[in-house]
Amino acid sequence: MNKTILIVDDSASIRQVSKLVLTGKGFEVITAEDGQDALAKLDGKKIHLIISDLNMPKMDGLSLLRKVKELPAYKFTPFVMLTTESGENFMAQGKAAGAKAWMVKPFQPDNLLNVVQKLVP
Amino acid sequence: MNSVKLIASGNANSTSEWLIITFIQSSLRYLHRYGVALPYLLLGLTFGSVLAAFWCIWSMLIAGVLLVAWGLERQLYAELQHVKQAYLQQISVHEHLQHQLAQQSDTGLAELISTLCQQIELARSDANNAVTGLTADFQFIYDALDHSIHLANNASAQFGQNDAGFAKDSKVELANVIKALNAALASKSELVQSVNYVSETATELMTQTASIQKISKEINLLSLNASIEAARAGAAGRGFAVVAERVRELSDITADAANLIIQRMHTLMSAVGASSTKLSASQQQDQHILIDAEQKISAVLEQMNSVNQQLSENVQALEQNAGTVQQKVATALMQFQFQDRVSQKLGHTADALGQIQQLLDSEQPLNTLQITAISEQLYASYTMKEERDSHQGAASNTTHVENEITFF
Amino acid sequence: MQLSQTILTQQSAISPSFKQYLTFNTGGECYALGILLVKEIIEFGGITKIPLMPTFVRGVINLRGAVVPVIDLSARLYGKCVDEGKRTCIVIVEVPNNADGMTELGVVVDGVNEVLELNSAELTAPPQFGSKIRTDFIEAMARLSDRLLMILAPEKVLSVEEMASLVAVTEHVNSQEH
Repeated sequence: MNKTILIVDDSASIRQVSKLVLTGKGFEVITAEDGQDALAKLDGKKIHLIISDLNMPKMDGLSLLRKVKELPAYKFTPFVMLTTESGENFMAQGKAAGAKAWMVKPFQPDNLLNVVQKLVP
Repeated sequence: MNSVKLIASGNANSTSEWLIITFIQSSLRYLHRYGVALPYLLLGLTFGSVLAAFWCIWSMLIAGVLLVAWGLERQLYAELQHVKQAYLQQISVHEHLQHQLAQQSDTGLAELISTLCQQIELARSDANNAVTGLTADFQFIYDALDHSIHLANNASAQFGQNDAGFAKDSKVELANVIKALNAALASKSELVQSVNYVSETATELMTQTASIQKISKEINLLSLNASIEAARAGAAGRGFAVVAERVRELSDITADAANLIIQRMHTLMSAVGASSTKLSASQQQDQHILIDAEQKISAVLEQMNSVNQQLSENVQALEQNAGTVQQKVATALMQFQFQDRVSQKLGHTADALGQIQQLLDSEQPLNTLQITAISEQLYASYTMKEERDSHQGAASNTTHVENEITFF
Repeated sequence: MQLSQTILTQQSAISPSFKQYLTFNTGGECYALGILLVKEIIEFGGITKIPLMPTFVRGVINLRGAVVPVIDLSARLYGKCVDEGKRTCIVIVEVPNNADGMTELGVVVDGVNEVLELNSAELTAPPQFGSKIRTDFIEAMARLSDRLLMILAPEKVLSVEEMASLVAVTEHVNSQEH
């Protein structure tokens, strides 16, 4: 059984690139355009890791993170923020909200895989 | 001017009166205090009358001054009004100008900014579409390369399996074929052998027949001699002459038979000899053909082997190449992340321009506060360190060394 | 001579018309000789050549200890020696010599055929001309079913005197040459 990863980003290129890297290593990948879309796509599936952008229309990454932590099914799913933002303020917020890691864009595929392998149970 | 104004307004009397009152009050106070009032009262009164006189003069002076002042004031007032008018006019002109200016620059600038916003949006969507398309294409290339690599892998595996097997099989098959041919040749060689045997036997028979011939010839001679002796013996030899003659006849028959045999033998021998020669020649030819065939087949197999080898190597090289290209494609794909950054940056810029546009649309004169506010908002909207650095005028470092991961 | 004569008369007494001849070939022609002259036939071989002899003298052979001269009939008849063939053999004849005795002589022929009995009626006189050999060599001619037979006159063909004189001539010639 392959592990499933949800990628949330409003940028098509980021979604595509992450998907490429992860499917190449045998993960199942679901993509969403923003927070709302991500919640819709969660829909009771078993997700092993969520990687989300911070700045998105409709619902941003932090809101999504908080919402996800409220859902019993996904409360313990590891959440990684993948964003251009590297401000300490945001990072603190993320940490407080329960994110497991903070990655800065642009990313190297090896780094992404490193994070994924560390966090996916 | 103020005091003159006050006086002009009718509070003139009170000054002197006040003086008097104050004096009286103070003297009363003093009197109250010290009870020594009267002299002072008198003094006061004197003083008062002096003052009254003074006051009259003073008032007359003042009246005169007042009149002059009033006259002046009226003049000044008129001038003031004039100035005020002029000032108001200037203000209105100024406002009008500003309004006009604002209007003019407003129409031009707003439109320009609107255009800029549109262009930025266009550029953003253009870039987005292009990058989406490119990423899809690159993905396609990546998948195609993957497919190629898989095919190459399969081919390589097959080659690897088959190559050794093929070489071995082909050698075994070749050996089998050669063996079969050799067997065929062997049976032919047996035929040749039997033909040779026939030939040898025929030769032997010929020799023996030749000796039969010789014997029959001798018998012939003998019989002739016997005939001669019989003839010479005269009548007594007659019987013997008959016998001798018969013997001669028999020997003749024998000789003929032997001759016939020999003739037949010769025919047989020549036939056998011919076929033997042919068989020999054919055998030699077969041998040559066999060797030739073996060589040729061997050469072909060698060639095939080497071709296989080459193919295998080529496939491996292809595999490697495809792998390298695929890696490069993957790396290139990573570069497409720039679209995200560009899009965000353009978004921030567009937002700021939008705000400026709104300001201009409101047709109010712009001031520094508003502009600063927009600038600060813009700065706050930044999501990347380099945006902030660039905003603050630091040298923008576009080489992104930030591959930071922070675990919580 | 006497003995042979007696034999001859005896023979002619028994069958006055029939006479036995030995037929043989030489030089492609068929000849015959009276059988009484013929002693035996032996195979060709063992001839010791004698140099400086005329062509027809082939040499001598050792016949049971006796030295017998051998002549070539073809050479005697045509002057050409016979080629040795399969059937070549030597006919040993007995001829009278000038000393009233009999000389044994070997005659090389191409092949011996048979012993024939011929009727004297069948014989005809030899032709005066046209034959390949000396007319006096032929005693008579016999017509057979398939061929003509020439009966040789032994006293001419096998004349010892003639042959001896010929030998002497040859010896003389040879000695003169040296």
